[in-house]
Amino acid sequence: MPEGGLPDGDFTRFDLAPGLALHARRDDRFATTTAVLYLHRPLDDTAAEGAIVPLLLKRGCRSAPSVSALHRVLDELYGADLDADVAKVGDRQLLYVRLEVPTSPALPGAAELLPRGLRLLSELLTEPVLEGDRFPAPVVLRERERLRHRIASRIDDKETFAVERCLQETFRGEPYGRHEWGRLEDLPRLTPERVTDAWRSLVERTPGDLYVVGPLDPGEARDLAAAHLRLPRSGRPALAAPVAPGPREEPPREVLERQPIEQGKLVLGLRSGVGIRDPDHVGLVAWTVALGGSSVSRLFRSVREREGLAYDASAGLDRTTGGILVTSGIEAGNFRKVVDLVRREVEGLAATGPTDEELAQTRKWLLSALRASEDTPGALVAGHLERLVGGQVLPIAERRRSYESFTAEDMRRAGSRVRLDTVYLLAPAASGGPVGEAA
Amino acid sequence: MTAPERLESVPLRRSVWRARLPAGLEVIVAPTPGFQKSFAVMGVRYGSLQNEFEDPETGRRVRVPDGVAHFLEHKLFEGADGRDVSERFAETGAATNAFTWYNQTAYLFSATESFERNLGILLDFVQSPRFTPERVEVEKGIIGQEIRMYEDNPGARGFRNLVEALYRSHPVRLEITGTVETISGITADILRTCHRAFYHPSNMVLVAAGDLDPAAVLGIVERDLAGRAYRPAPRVRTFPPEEPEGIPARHVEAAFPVARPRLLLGVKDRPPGRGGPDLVRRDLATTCGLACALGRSSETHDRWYREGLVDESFGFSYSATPEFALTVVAGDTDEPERLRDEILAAGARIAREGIPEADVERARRAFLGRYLRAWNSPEALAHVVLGNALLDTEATAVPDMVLSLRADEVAARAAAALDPERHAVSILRPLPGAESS
Repeated sequence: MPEGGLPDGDFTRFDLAPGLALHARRDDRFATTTAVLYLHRPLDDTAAEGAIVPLLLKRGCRSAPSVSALHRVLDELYGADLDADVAKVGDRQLLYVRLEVPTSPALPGAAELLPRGLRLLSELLTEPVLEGDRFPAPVVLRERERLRHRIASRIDDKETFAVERCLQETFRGEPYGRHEWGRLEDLPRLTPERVTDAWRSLVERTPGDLYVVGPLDPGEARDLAAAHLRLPRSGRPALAAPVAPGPREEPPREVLERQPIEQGKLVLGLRSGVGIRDPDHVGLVAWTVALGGSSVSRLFRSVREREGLAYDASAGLDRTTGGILVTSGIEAGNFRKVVDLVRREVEGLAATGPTDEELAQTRKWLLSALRASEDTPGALVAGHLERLVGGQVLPIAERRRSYESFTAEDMRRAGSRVRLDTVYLLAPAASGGPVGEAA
Repeated sequence: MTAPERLESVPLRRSVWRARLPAGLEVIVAPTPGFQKSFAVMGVRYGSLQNEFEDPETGRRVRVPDGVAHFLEHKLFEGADGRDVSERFAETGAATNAFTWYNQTAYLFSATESFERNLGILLDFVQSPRFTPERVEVEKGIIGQEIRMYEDNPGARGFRNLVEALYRSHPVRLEITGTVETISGITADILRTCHRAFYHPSNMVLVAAGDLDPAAVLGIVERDLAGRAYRPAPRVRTFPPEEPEGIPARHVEAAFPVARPRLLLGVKDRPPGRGGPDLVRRDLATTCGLACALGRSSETHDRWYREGLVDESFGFSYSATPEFALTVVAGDTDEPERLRDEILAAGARIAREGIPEADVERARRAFLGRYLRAWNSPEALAHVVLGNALLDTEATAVPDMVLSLRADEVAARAAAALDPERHAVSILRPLPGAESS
């Protein structure tokens, strides 16, 4: 362990500055080094203010003051990949700036590529192109317009739109139901002053986590970050881990919306109240996989393979909130049939737990997914970050042990805490007809 | 035992190993030491374009319903023992999938243990079809919903309209999945005929990537094939329809439930006719040329971005196969006609003025680093290797090709790929009353 470094799951942690931690991991398999900074803010009514900041940052910085100048630098760094956006984890909006720089020794000048990349990352965050002390008004207007288009265009991808709508309904009135890009009605508030304040607050005071994964020692990553990543930090305490919201004391609701589309997009939202630190967490992870996590899951076998009602039927768990979404594209006329089928599978798996074969398959599936998560920088970082937000970082070895030892009863018990909350259908408008029994 | 030969990319310091087995199967192993995941993919030179061919068994010319290649891909998962093949993979936590494209079908699995056993399952299910009429009927319902899903996808719809505008009779106009109507005519017998014709080892390539020993992988495949008694077979004779030079329609529009207008501009490039390094070089030169002309580092794109003419949805691609070559430039924009004119003007400028060497050098560098990134992922690497192998090219030769691209060659390709004489546009407009406000 390098000086000042602390064990941190499969990473080594250093405190770089007030409210800014570095999580570094040496990995010699990768031809690139990934550096990504996450800044955590609560997901509240000011989400649009957070969401416009990465759009502004991508317009360039002091030494590369335009989109083309910035991308020329990235080309020079052997096609380094830059991404800046907001994401949602639990009840937080995370602003991230990610840079993946090829650092293979096969490339001429490889040793200089990462320091240059980190300086660029630093400049993008701290030295955007300002006019006086704020973002220029025409640029803010342009990016506000771009954010407006982005929010409005969420309807273009029908499956994702249905998922987001169901999430919104399932967690109505709670931060988990908010979208990380904010709402159209908040955009007029995004003045140059306000977004400049939002940017300063993010960079200077918002709790941050920097990840560095690549073929370099954690101590070396710390030295490079200290030398090249200069954030003017004054710090602020970390946010509390979110509480997974439990089931509501009311019967499930049905929400029907229509668009001129060909296929119904069905999404069921379920709540469990089981978060990452809950004793039933691993059981719930396994239960969801057996329900709809693979092509041997109950939903896939019954809805697709046995009944031929859909091309896909799957279930996914948000580990931070304990929310589960079941999705399937169906003929709207089969709505009731599919919903009943899904509910039977959910209730059946919760009542009796998995068969021996399902238990074995689920265990294999999870162990394989966990091993595979060690193969990509993105998955390593995402896995750590999710647990960091959830309030419990564990090394993969320890998670592996929990996957090796859960029982059918663990799955059944976790499943029995799951309650259907919302049935959402995005139905074809043109063909009309009875979607029917959807209230 | 067949010994694998080593293919090396000197600039990237990476190697893969290749062998051709007696039955004609090409096997390539790309070692990625230290990775947990291993990945194998079996590619077949057969896709939606090959809908008319000479049945090698009978010598008769056959025309099959549109969508058979994709339907066959689905149905091979009904294993010979009647169990869905996914279940056999799932016993070791492995995951399987498949996809069908215009001129290829690919079957794959990824695993973090028991690679040998899973490779055996892959080899077996691709080569041992079992089709029951009842399951063929159930599959029509499943694929019917897959087709419906694509119908709701603006990208797929815009692209469909674009190829219908650009091509008069070429089967690239047809949906890879077929339509609900065409697949209704598919039977177990048709599936058997197509499998027999195209799924011969000499028409397939197997690629494996992971922490693997090339000789050991080759041994597994060799033993499997030895037990199947293949006779040598020539490549199946196919009958691609003649496609005239002209553009049937310059401009097509459709209303669609999207928030903003979406432009797809296509250029129907001359088909290369056959695969091989020349085709791949042409593809690389064109891709670099389009990056110089329209990419994020170009002045042209910078101006469009500042003016709000394009947003992050803007992108471009060039696909080159022996049967067709096609540029697509696409993006959401409030001014699709203006964006069309600007794209064509950018192409015309390059035809007049060429591309500065410094821009091409940057494009070469960026390409090289991105190509190297494939070695970060056994899965990505296997796909790169397979894609090149199906075009009869070595993936390890690509970096040298890129480094040797000349600025005049890149400019000529960019100009051809944006040739106004060969273009058409497809625009999706928001439904009346549904514009974003």
